[in-house]
Amino acid sequence: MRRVVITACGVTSPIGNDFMQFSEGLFAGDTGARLLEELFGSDLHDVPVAFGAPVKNTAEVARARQCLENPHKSTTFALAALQQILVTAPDVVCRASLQCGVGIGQLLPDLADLVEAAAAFHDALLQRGNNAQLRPDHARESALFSDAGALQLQRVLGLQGPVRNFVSACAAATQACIQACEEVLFGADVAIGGGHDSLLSVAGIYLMHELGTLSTNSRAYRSAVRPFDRERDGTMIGEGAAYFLFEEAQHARQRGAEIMAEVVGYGSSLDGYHVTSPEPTGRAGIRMIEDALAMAGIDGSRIDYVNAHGTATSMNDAIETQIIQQSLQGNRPFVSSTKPQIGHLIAACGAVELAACVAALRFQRVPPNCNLETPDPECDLRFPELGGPSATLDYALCNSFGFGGQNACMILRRWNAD
Amino acid sequence: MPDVYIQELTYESDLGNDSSQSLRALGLSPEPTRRSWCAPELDRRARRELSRPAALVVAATKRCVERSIPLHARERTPLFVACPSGPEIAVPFVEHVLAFAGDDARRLSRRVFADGAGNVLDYLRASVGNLPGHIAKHTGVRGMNACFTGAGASFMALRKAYLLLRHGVIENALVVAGESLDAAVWPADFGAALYLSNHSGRARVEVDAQVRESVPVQGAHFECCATLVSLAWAFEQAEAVPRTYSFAEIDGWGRSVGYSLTGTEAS
Repeated sequence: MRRVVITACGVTSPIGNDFMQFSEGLFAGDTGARLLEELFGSDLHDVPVAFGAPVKNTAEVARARQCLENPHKSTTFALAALQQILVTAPDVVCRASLQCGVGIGQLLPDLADLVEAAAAFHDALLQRGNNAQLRPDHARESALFSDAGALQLQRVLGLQGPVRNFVSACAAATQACIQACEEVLFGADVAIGGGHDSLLSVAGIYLMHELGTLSTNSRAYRSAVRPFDRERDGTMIGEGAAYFLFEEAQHARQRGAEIMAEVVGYGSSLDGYHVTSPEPTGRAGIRMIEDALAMAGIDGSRIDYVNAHGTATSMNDAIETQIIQQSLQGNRPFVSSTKPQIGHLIAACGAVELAACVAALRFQRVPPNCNLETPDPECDLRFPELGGPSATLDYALCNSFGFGGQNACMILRRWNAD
Repeated sequence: MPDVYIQELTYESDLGNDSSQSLRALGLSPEPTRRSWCAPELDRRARRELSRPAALVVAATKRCVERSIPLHARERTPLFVACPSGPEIAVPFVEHVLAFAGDDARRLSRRVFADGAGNVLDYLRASVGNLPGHIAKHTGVRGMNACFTGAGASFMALRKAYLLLRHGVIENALVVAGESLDAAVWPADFGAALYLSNHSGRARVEVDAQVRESVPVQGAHFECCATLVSLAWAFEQAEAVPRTYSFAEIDGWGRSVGYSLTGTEAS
C-alpha cells in the first residue's frame, strides 16, 4: 500500500501568510478579527454584524495580486499560498495536478464580483435578445465561473497536471485534499490539494447574517466567536487559502524532502436532511469518522487531537459534540476550533484547519480553543489550555461539515518512517 | 483488479428521458431541438424546490436508484457528482436580483440578501453547488461523495468512481451530472445517473488518460456533462452491437480534458 505524506504547506490567513507565521499565531491564540467599518465604510450600517477576519495585506499577497490578470480576492490568496509550495520543490510541483476547493453555488467566492458579473451577463443577454447566441467564452474569465480562478492559477504557476475543482460548501477544500491523496494512492508521485475562498464582502456578510450564522457581539469582537461555549452566538466571516503538496512517501524520502505529516485516513458522507441545518442525530457524521478510522486501521482511542468544524453556532457545536463522542467511543482527545482566530473560511476552511493539524503534529503542541469561558454542558469535550501546551500527539482528526449536510474529514499521523 | 461495469444508466434530456428513446439523435441534430421541460414525470416537489439542472439530475438519479439500489444499501452508496461552474448559477441569481431591483440589477448586491433569510434559502435551494445534498435528500443516497464542477467535471467524477472501483476501495457507485441553460447562452439540457459496480453489469467500461478519437456528439454543447452524454450514447450502441468505443473530448473552453473512455460488450 502506498503511503501519502505532506511535504509542503502554503497558507494565506488572517493570522499569518505562511505556514510558520500561521503556526505561531495559532498557538499564541492570535485573532485576525477586525471591525468591518475599516473595510467597508458605512455600507453595513443596517446589519448588526460589525467584524470579520481579513487576510493581512502583506507583500506576498500584493505580489500575488500583481501576477494575476483577473485578481479576484480568493484567487490571489490561493496564488500566494501555492507560491509558498512552489519554492520548496519547483521541479516536483510543476508536474502535479491541482485540486481546488472553491465556493460557488450555495456559497459564492468573491460575491460582490459575482453580483457584478451576473449583472453584466444579464445585460449581455438583453442586448443580444433572448434568442441570440451568447458564446460561453463571453464570460470565460469572469467570476461567474468557479473554475476560472484555478485556470488562472494553473497558467501563472505553469502547472502541467490537470486541474479539478470541488464545490461542497464548507467541505470543499477537504474534498479537494482527499482527491489529491487519491491521486497519489493510485499512482501519482505528487498532487496538490487545498482550497481558497472569501465571503468577506458586503453581500457575503448579508448572506451569512440572514442565515443566522454570524455573531453580533460587536462590543467584544476580538473574543466574540466562542465555539462550545454556553453563550456562543455564531461565527465570523474569514478569508484565505491553504494548499498542500501530497506526495508518495518513498518519493519524498528519495528526494530528501522534509515530511510534515502522513495522511492515514479520510471519509465523507451526506446528511440528506436540510439545506442549512445539520441532521440532529449526527449519524452521517459518525459514519464518516468511522470510515476514516477504518481506513487508518485504528480505533477512536488513538486520536489525540480533533480540529473541530466548531462554528460556534448553537446547532453545529452541539451536534458535532455528539459526533465526536460517539465516533471516538469514549476517548477524550483535545478538541479545539480555529474559527475564533481566523473566522469561517467557508470553502477553504477545511484546508486551513488541516494546516492547524499539521502544525499540531509537527510541533507537538495543541492549538487553543479561544474565548471559551463557560463550557456548554451539551458540549462535554476536552478543551486544551490556552498558549498551545505541549503534548504527545500522534493522530489528529480534522472535521468539515458543510451546508446541505456535506461532510468530510481527514486523519493525519505524525510522520514515522517505520 | 476487478473490472468495472455499468449496471444502470438513466437520463433526462430534451430528446427523451428513458434509455428506450435513443440518444443517437444527439449526434445527428445540428441544433438543439426543443426547449420544452423535458421530464413530465419529474418529481413535483423536486421541481418546486430545485433549479432546473438540479431537478434534472435529481429526477434521473431517483429513477436510477429506484431501479438498481435496494433501500437498505442506499445509505452507504458512494455518490460522485458533476455540476456546472457558473451560468446555471447566474441565471437564477440574476432572476433573483431582478425580482427585487427591476432592471437596476447592479444596485442589488446588498438588497438581494438583505430582504430576508427566506429569500436566501430560496437561492440556496435553487443553486446547483449543493447537488450532493439535494440528491441525498431526494434519494436517500448518503455515502462517500464528491462534487466536481466546471469543464470536464463528469469525466472527473467518472474517473474517481472508476479508480475506487478498480482498486476495490468501493463495490459500487453512482456517478451523476446535469446542466441546463436557456438556449440563448448555449444549448444543453441534460441530467444523467450512472450506476457502476465491480461485480457485474450490462456493459464493461474502461477509463484511461489517452485521447484517441472524438465522439460524434454534435448540436449540443455540454460543459460538465459531456462524458455522461458520450457514455449514454456508447452504452446504447454497445447494447445493440457489442464493440469497443473510445472517446476524446475537448471541453467547452477549448481545453482538452484528455481522456478516452471505452464501453465494451456486456459481461
